[in-house]
Amino acid sequence: MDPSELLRTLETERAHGRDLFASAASLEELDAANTAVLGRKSRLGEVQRALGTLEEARRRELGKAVNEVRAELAAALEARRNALTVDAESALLAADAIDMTLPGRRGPEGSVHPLTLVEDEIVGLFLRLGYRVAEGPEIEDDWHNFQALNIPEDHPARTMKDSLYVSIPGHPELLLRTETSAVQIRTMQSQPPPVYIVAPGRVYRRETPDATHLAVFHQVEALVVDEGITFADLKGTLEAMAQGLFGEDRKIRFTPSYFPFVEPGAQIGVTCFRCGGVGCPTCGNGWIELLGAGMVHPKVLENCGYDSERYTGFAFGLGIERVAILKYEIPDMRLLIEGDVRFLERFGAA
Amino acid sequence: MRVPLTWLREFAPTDLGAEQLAEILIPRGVLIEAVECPWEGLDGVVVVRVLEVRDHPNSDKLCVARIQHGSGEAELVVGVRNMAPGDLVPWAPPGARVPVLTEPLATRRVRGVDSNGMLCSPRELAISQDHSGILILDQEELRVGDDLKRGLGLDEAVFDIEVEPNRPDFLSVYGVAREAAAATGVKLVPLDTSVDEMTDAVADAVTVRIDDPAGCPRYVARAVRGVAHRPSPLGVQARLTACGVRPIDAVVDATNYAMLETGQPMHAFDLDRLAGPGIVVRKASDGERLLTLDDVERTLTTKDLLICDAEKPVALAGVMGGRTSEVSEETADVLLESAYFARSGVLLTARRFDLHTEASHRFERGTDPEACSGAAARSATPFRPRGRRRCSTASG
Ligand SMILES: [Zn+2]
Repeated sequence: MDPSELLRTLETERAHGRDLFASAASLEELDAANTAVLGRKSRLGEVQRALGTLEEARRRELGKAVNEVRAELAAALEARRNALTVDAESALLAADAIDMTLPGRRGPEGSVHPLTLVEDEIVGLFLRLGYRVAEGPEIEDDWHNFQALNIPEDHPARTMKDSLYVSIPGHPELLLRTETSAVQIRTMQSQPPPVYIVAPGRVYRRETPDATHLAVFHQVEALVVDEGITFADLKGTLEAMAQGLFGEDRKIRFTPSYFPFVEPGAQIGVTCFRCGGVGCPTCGNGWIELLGAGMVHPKVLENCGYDSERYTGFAFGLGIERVAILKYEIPDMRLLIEGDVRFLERFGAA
Repeated sequence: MRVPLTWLREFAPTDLGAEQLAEILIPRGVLIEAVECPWEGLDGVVVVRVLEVRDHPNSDKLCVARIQHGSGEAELVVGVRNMAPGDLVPWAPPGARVPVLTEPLATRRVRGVDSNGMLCSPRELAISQDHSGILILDQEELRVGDDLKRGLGLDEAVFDIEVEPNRPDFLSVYGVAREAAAATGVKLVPLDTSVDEMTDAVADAVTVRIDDPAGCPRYVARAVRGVAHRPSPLGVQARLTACGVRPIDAVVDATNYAMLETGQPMHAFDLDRLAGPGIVVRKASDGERLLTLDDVERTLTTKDLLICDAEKPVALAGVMGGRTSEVSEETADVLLESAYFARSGVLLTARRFDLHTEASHRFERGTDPEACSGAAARSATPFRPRGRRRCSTASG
């Protein structure tokens, strides 16, 4: 190749290279174009190798021209590579896009059990009245569960409920507590008066569960002992509780009843919260029998070392399951212990 | 405890209706759980006289009865023939209702004979479980045409009362009547405890010795001669049935009737089967045995109280009688026991044997020691004006 032909080829390759780089649609095409235009086997490569055959002055002149073209094409290649890289990244980003504002997937959520709802409501009511929560063991001895509560060995009330006894060698007469009333005794033994406690807890009876009874169920017991406590205090307290649980316009009534650990004792009815007291399927005659109550029997105070001449008190206890089935219109008490999620979901999130 | 209002009104003669009375009594601690009307389904049954009983022309078993009612005669087909011409019987005419049938009676043809209504058995009238024949009313003070329901006092309600352990007085009709009288202001009618006493010396009939005065501070025994084993008057049977007690015969019914009325448990021994005859109340010795009325041989301890005759134990005090001295249909003379047994002893014995009776239920809650004598008299002469029997009393 003579020098003029080399120059022409150089010019053609400059234009050809620029076109090829500009028209590369991807980094792969650009790499191919790079090899074709600037590689050792390219026309430009041939021109470079042909320089060796020239005399020195021409070689230097043409070499300079070849280097200019190479530099120019390399710059064009780089510019195109940059442009294509940005495009490719944008495309990749577009394809793999993550919406950081989407909410996460939630796992199934638990709800508060209706028995806990009721217990919290009752206990909360009394905490606001200044009571404190007291607790006791679920396995009790005969003295705390019966004798101290004025139920001696030969009392007919012992046959009123069937107890579940626990056999532990060396511990005669242990049983699963039949009432939370034993907590009264333990509290009075552990502190001097005044006493204002509310004692929620689980109790046990030898009974076959049915729609309105369970063998294992819950009670809330309240005990007040102080100077000058009267039946009027009991009435006011129960009225406040009935209204707190079932609504402001509830009325209560007392019917004489019998519990060995109180005297006098009463059964407390509340006007029906569904029909207002005119009578409906929930209540029957307008009244719902809610709980047992009475003035603490002097013998119970004395059994705990309290001066029954100086102190008087009242106590009452109610079944949490009973309140729950009334309040939430649950047709069968056993639903409360079956753990059926479809039933429990009704009571909403925590 | 179930209390028929007719019975209660004998002692508390109030005019108040059942519902009104219940409303007054409940706040006073008489926990009336239900006001029931066991004879609600009985209506229009009247007393008639049987004129003729003849064979049914087309049946070997059936017969045809001709009866006289208040305003004429009628004929009907009957399946049994224990009634005879002249007998007074209950007749449910067409249109009347009886508790065992859902529909009112009608005239229908039975194998070619027109049958007007039906004659009733005691069970069909819900008076007792007896269904062996037509009820014969000759012993009652009833006349042809009388309404049976009103005549026997079956038109009143029955209170079903839950009795708490602190009110054992409500385990008797008289106890509830006492509360009703106090609540309504009517005067409580005293129990008529008069008895035709025999002239013989009581010591010839029976002696009483108490070896355990703590367990049995009072024991009243009455000897009753010449008892008759016939059914009790219908009003008495109806009251017992309404209280949930099965009528047996006048002798057994008398003790149950007196217990329901006064709250004092009674026990009847066959006097001829008591050795001595003498009653000894003592603690059992360890390992001593007694066959009780429920046919179970009981092995006793020194904590159990026994009623014995001169030779052997005859009853588990306050809980259940023994087999050997049981009253039977052959019994001619009866020894009635009306005692006060200490609460605790009866309760612990009944609990240990898991043997809970109407008697133990009352004793373990506490009976009235002052009631023993009156109850014995009521039981000895239960059903006035008939059935007065001659008695003598011994007590310790
Ligand atoms: Zn209602």
